[in-house]
Amino acid sequence: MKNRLKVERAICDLTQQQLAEQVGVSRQTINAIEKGNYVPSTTLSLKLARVFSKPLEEIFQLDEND
Amino acid sequence: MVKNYLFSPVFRKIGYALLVVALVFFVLCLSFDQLAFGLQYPMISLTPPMDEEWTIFKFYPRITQGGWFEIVMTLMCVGCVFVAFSREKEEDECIAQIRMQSLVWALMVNMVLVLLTTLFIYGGSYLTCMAVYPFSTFLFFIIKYNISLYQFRKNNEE
Repeated sequence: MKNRLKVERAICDLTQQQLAEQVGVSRQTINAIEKGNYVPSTTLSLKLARVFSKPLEEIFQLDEND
Repeated sequence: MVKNYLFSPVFRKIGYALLVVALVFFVLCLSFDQLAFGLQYPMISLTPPMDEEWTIFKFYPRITQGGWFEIVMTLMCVGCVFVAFSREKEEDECIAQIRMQSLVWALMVNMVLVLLTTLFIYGGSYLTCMAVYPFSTFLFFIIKYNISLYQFRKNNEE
């Protein structure tokens, strides 16, 4: 799965720690999501989309391999 | 709301302390006979004495003498559960996934060991191995979980 988390975070001028605190996870989890090492759950994905006020599909997209 | 059955993080330290106490106690009782045989206390048993015939699905409640081995096993059981199933200070879904994957790995590795033991080891040695396996699952899990958690934090530190 691909994501634009880092881009959206830069647009909103948020650090990983700030974003992590807003959605209730650790900073390492946010880093893992941005690197593509971890696929977040539906709940976490929706929380992230709500932080950026964007639809879920704008932040997370399926890969060709998915 | 998802229920979390994990203990508070403070139980991890209690668990490690219990494991250390159990290990020290085990070594002391093996080394000093007076300590081992002085620790007799009455406890309930459901199996007949060794010289009597035992029928499966039939229980023979009686009072027998327990001792240091039962104490060590109890401390090990409780210690392993506390260490293995304590929350992290920062618990989130990623750590929960690492915990689940480590648990599956530990169970599979342990079952392979049980299988190999069953096929290649016999007699009293087999019973000794079987006595260890309840704890080996937890030990494999604790080792695998801590390694995975360390690698996760190290790889995502930037």
